[in-house]
Amino acid sequence: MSRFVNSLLWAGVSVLGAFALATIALQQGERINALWMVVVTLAVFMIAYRFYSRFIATRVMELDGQRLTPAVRLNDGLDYVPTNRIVLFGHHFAAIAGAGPLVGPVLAAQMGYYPGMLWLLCGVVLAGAVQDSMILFLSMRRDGKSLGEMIKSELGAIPGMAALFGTFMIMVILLAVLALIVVKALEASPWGTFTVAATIPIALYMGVHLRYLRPGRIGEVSLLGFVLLMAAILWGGQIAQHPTLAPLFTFSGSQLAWMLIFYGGIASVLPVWLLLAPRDYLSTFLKIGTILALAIAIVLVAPEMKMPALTRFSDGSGPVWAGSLFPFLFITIACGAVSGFHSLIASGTTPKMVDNELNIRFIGYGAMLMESFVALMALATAACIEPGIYFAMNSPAAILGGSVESAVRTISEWGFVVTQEMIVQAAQDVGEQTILSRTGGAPTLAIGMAQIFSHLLGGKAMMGFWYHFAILFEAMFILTAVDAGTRAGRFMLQDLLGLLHAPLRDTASLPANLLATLICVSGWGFFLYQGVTDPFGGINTLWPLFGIANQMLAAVALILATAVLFKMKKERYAWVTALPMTWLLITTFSAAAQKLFHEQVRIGFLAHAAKFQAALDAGIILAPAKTKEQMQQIIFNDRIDAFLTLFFMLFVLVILYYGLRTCWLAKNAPQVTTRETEAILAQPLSAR
Amino acid sequence: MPWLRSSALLVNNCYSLLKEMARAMIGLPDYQLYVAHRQQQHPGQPILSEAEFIQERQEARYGKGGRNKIIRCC
Repeated sequence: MSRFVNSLLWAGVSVLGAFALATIALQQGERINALWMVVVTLAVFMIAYRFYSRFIATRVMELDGQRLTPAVRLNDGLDYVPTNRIVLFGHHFAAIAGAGPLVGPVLAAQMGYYPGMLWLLCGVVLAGAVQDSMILFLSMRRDGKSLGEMIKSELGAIPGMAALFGTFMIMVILLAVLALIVVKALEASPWGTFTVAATIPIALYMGVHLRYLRPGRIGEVSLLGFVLLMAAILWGGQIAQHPTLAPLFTFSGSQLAWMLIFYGGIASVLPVWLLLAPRDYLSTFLKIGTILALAIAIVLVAPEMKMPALTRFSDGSGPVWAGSLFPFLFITIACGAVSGFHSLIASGTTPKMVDNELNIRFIGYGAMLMESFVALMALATAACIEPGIYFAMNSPAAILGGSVESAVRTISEWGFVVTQEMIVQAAQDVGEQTILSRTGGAPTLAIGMAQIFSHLLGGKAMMGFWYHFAILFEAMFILTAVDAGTRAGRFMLQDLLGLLHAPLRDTASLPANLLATLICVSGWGFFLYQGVTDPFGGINTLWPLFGIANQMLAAVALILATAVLFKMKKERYAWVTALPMTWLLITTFSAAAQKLFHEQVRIGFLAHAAKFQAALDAGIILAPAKTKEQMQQIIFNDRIDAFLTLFFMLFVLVILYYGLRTCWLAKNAPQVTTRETEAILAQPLSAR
Repeated sequence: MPWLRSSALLVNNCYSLLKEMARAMIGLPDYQLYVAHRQQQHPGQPILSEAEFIQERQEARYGKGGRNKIIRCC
């Protein structure tokens, strides 16, 4: 009887999900409430978790609740600590959720919310959550080894080296694109710049407080930091209107870029307790709190989505980023559907804290579903903005023409309703001078969040506060990522440099530290500066590069997982990881090939370089360049981007070759060839 | 009143779970558990004070101890 009720219940969930999906798909130009998206999402995730993740846990992984985890066997109270599964879910989710799932879907909204929604749902169920839980499982069975170490021990030393180098390059691109998002949000915005700058002294004070005044009082100091942050937002509003103070906090994009580069360099060599740790505490709590608040607010406000389900830009002519739906949608939305970076997190601290193997399913698969939910909320929030405003904010100045009149003309030609008053009003509402060409996703999300939050609390008068709260919330964890990422990149680089000259590996040596920091900062600084000066907004170049790199890393993680399944003699289940792996290889390689060779200058790096080279040969100066040197710089940048794309492709091909070879050898081997830590059971087999 | 006591207990449990989760999110395991572990498994050996424990964890999460450790995603 209970079984019958159970089946009935799941049938009900399926029907509800299908009904909601049909409602969205079959709307005929009417506006759909964002709640329908929430219903579809919940139904799909419940079914996927209940059935597919259980299949993976019991059949593919064969999780064994009796087998002692590294946390139990190696418990040291520090790294290896058996942790309650709900607590560990929080730890893992806080580590995987960042700017990625918020920005990608906002950019993808230019094609309408429907393609992005479908990719997010399919991607997370079949690829993202599979990758996260598989890597968590593999690492846990190997005492918490990192992805690089596992590639080295399972596939070989050469792919291991390739993974180390590839990860470093991906890190460089990631930091550049994150920093670019901050620059685009703070450009000519004294209010935003002041509040973000205020986080530095606030964090410094928190660091001193925690170290010397009241050691250990993390709750107290975080609360204090939060109050100071809110005060900084309110104060920032005053400063933005002040005739002498406002210009002090008004900067151009390239000024902000240089400031960030210097900040990254200095912050990453300061002691960790002083700036990084306290800011990480504050940004983590703010991030989780805001995400929860947004979820609750969307359900309470139930806003209508004003963006069409499918816009005319699905043909690839969109202003936000160039390229057709296939393959570019699948690399624009990376985090939230499937993100290679998660394989580094899932093989980091989490596997050392799992108290029981059976919890892999809840933590690995479940936390990724939650992240995807965040991405879908970001998509819904962007879709709730008036499309005319969305395109005014996200189209680069080179397309909009730089003035409100030309922007209105261009956007109206695309068929979206927008007036000059709407654009001016939208900027006034949030206390900014302009919202035109604020590319990068963060300001768009901030406008959407401000609309939703102010609906619940404060009304129109609070729009400016909520907008800058949202900007601060994103800038805060991006800056923490820049700081921590530069540090991690520096250690990675020191390992690589150590291969050339052993003393460079020494992290205690100041010259070695400074050299590695300098290389790392100039690496991402180069791409950041290139992005800031790009007339197409920079996001058009850097985000696809980041997406390609991130999805390629996911493909690498899935290659590892597939090879290990073969080595475990489980090749009959290898499709679970091989299927998403193949899809990621197809999308990333076709996107990379288009970024290299496409004849449209907005897509192909080489075509863009050729256009500028031809102009240079003919003695013509093309905007945004003003001199011959700048023309040469643009050509050089294009070639660097092309080279990097080629490098990423090569890096994946090397690992793919070794992965396939490993599969082949493992298939022909008579016994299991993988190297797991030996199983120790809680109870001997005879007693079970 | 037993219901009052049991609901107070529930609130208390939820509170300590949330507190533990908040600490786990920033990479700080439970200090009391660490002390208990040292006392049971390594009797007579030195135990870090709470302030030292936090310093050690910060260094492990962000500093040299965290070599090649990526603590957050994009």
